[in-house]
Amino acid sequence: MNAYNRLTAAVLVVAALAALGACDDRDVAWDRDRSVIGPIALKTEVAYIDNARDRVIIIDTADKPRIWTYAIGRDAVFATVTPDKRHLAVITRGEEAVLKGQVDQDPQLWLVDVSKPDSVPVSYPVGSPFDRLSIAEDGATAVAYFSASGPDATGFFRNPNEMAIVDLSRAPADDNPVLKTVRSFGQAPDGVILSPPMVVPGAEDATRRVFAFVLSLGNVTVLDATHPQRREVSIRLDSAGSNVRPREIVFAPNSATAYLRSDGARDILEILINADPPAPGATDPNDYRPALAELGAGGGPADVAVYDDATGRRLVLAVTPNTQELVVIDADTAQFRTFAMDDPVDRILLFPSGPDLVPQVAVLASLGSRLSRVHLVALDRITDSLEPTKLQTVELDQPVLDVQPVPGRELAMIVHDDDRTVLGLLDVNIGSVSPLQGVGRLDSYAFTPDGDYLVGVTDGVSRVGFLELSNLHPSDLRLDSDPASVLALPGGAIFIDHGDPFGVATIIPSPQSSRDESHLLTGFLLSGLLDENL
Amino acid sequence: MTTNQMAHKLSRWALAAAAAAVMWMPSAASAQQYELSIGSTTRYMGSDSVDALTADDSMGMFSIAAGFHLNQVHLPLFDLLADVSLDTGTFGGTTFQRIHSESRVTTGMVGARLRWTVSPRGSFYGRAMLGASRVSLSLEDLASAAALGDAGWSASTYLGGGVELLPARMVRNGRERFSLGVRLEGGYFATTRVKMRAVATDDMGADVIRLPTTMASLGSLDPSGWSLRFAVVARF
Repeated sequence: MNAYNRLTAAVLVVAALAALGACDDRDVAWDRDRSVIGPIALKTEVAYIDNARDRVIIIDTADKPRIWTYAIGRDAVFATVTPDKRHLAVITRGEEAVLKGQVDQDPQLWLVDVSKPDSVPVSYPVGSPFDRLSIAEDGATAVAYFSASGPDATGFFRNPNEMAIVDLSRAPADDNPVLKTVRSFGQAPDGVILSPPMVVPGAEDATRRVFAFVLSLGNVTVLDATHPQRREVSIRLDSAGSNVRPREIVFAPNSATAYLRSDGARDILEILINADPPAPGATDPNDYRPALAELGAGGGPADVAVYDDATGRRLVLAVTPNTQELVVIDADTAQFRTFAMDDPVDRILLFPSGPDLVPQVAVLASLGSRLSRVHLVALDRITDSLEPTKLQTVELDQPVLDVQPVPGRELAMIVHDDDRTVLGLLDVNIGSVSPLQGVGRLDSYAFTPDGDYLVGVTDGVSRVGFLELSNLHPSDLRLDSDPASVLALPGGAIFIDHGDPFGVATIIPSPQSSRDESHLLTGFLLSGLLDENL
Repeated sequence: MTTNQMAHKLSRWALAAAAAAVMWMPSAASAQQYELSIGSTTRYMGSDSVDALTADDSMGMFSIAAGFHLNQVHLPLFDLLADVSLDTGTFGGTTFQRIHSESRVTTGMVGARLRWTVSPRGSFYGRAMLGASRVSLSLEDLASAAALGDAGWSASTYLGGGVELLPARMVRNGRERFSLGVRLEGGYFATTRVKMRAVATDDMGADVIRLPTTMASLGSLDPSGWSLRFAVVARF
């Protein structure tokens, strides 16, 4: 072989080696379909969940914006925050390995401590791909369950009455979470509502515990979520009617009582959790028994509200649009007083509202009928039959579609049309309504947690509007691009998401801040993308 | 040190410098002192950072290079050449089924080459180069047309070797005046990582006052990798 032929052979060998070196496929994870959950407001942070990257992305709005991420499981389906807004809970469906590069992963509940960027999320194996999660007020008890949306494309069987009870204050263990299938009478649950922690009166176990109320057609199931191994108690609602669907529960935790409003039922069902020690040798260690009482609302209540008056007496307000009545029920004695209303009222709001506040005024509205008026009822001595009813009717120019309370203030925002282009602010003490005129539809709005400001944005308008609620002074701030949604964070900052798939947000430190003090944050949903190894 | 000693030392340095200058000075009489090559390079990037952008890790590049034979430097077996090159290429793809990416890498380098001529028609060579790269990245969401991008500089180096085949030769007066051939070269291109930020593109005018902007870090891009270069080369 001469030198030229040797060179030609060398060329061919180098070319072949290079071709072999080119065979390096990237991980199949980079070809996933991408969807994003969020924004979700926390204390000073805002969370997003990127379903393609399996990451929780946190934006800290304190001082200069900071971004950090947490790795979680595959395919997040639901996320919510704990009541203290320090933790984010995410349910991931997991993945069945089908393609090369995929890894089998079971459904899990992830608890992310967003206040610590270096923390590692805690994962609880919940067994089934639940798509809803309720967390109790104490932030320790959570129940994962299926929504009423029906089976999805994955899996073979689905048990809609299964749920996972998780103690978020403990690490995952054999007994945490507890998987449980609640007793069913042929129906799937409509929802699970957790009570505030409450002591069962008279029970030997005086610890505060959380009860889960599982609502389904014709049935309410009560489960001691603090002791999930114990058997649940079913309450049939057949006696109230043939097609009774429980809709709303309000709690009186000091007396371990729940008040249930149901569609198709004439009255309100009072469920009192009473102590009932287990018999010696009994297999079921349950130490309570629900006692039921029907409080005579009389006409199928559309809304209920519960409060303690100045003397500590528990009162239940119910409105019955069918009979056009307001019913005030003394929860202790079941005595009631009925007020005839001229309207089919279906909404009650109490002012002031708060854990230690005694409401003075009830705002009553007829949302279903879209009437152009609201009523203010003074609650002082409302059960005294010798007292005349202090009812004030406030006439409005436009029909009322929704009424929203302003936190911390005796104000209610009235929405007059589907597009939220016409709004009013009702002062419940005076009975006056101040119309609010905007540039268009109020697509997203929030009240600051202290109730000082209403903050709103409109699609296609690059501005954020502020309304100072103490004097109704409006102001606005120019944005660099169109907004999609606005959040008012407990930490005081205003977070405006611009709906950009790569993540663009304006962070305004407070409603009084200027543009110079605000920040535009770009690309946060792709933060660290190039450094990631999926 | 006395003045005489200093003068003596300086004169020795001056003599050495003059000798070196003479050695490196090009000779007008030398033949085939220059080279020009145009070709294509395929780079196989092994960095994980590239996985976020492209599926096959490869980048096609256009390459242009010039060489200069330092025929005053006499080394046993080898010729010494000075090289200068410019390579530019793009890579990209679709990630998460909706993010289209395109990254451009442009590299300018200078270096030295050692050539071992095994026959008048062929030679082996190896070379080392240093330079700088401009790396740009643009991302576009296919569903919404949202876009962002960034660019940065990095220090680069290259080490490679190859073969050169020169089947077409023009000889006059017994001396080669012009040769035309091909070159196949393999090597490794290493560069420092380029930090990328999310610089959003928008349609606001340049004179509009903008909000103070914080751009999230996308991470760092590393286009280092093995490369294979094919070029047409002319010597004259």
